Amino acid sequence: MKRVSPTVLAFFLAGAVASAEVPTSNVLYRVLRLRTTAVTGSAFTIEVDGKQYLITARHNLKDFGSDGEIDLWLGGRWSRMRAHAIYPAREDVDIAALDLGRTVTVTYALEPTSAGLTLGQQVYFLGYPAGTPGSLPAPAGFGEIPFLKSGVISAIDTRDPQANILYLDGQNNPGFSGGPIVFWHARSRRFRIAGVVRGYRNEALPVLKKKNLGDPLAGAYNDLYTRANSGIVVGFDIRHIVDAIRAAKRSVPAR
Amino acid sequence: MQKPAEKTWKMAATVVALTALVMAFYVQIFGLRSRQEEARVAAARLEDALAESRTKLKAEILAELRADLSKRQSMAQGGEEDQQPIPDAVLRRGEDESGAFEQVVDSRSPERSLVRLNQSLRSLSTQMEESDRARRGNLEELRLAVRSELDASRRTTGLILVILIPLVVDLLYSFWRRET
Repeated sequence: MKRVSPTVLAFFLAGAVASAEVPTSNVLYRVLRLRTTAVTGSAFTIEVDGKQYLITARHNLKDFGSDGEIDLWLGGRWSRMRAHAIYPAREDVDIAALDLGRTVTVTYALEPTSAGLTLGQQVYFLGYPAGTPGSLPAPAGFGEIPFLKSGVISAIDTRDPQANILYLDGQNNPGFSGGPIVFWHARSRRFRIAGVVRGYRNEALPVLKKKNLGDPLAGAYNDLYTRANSGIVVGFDIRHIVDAIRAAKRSVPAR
Repeated sequence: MQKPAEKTWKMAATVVALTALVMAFYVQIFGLRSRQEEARVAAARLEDALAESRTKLKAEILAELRADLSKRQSMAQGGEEDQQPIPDAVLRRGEDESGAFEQVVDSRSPERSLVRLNQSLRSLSTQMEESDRARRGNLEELRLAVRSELDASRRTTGLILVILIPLVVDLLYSFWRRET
């Protein structure tokens, strides 16, 4: 009674290998469109010690300071909210947390940690490419379902313990900054948030004359170059902002 | 020469003693058998009740599981519940290739199915074990009570026999001596 027969178990395990895991509602309904005086970007929620925070890229909060107002796309309209910003100690770590003093998304299980992330593993990053509507309307009171893009973990730069950088092989676009990078954690059988999208690397491509398009050694015409997406997505490890939130809570215990 | 009143009294006492002796023997031999049979029937009834209860419990749990499954299916297929996000749901388009994505709790997910199945089986097993343990405890208590009652009864009957047999022998001997 207590045991499942080996045949049944083998069947289920075979099925598990065959089925691909895709981000669930635990991820999708946490991502929100964010508008500040500076930009429109992406954000998402996490819980740290039982309290929800909105996470985004630091550059999305340019000139925001420590307190101010932001707009979130909720229930089909922009909702203005007051927020208190928390930043990592290092300014070059492009992540920020906003304490809204309330819960704005679902709180379904989604651990903010890159523990267990594997080099070469498939990851997803979510956000809102500028001006493009999402794939479907979300339930009333929730944000728009974000675009879901994918890549693999190409590298993790851990040389600086205060600024771990994730490099993804993927095609990022403007508007995804501040969105989450999530991965499937096999042991816990759940998605986890590994990091926050900062942006993507550009590369310079030479402008060629039409007759030189087939020549791999042809130089740039009149020293003209164009910018192109290199396909390398850059993000920061989520733990930097989790540490910053905990440090802020320790310094100001009753907020 | 024995007086008629004394003879009558002794005769009556002998008849009563003989009747009591016969009844005591009857109780000792047939009455105990009857009680043992009653105890056996009661134990069988209890076992039947145990089996019935187990079947009922299993049916209840299966019904609960079916209700849970149909609830999940209705949530996955649409309805009022899908207006709110469902935990661990993926967004999937229906097989008819029309309409928007719907929230689907992937019941075909092997891991989740296996976990749910295991949880249900463990719950079923625990409940049945607890129920069985309680009923077996009751059965054992009942058996002990019946056994102690039988023992007491056997001892009482034995003591009555111990008293009656010498009395009857004495009365019969006194009759025999007077006659001779």
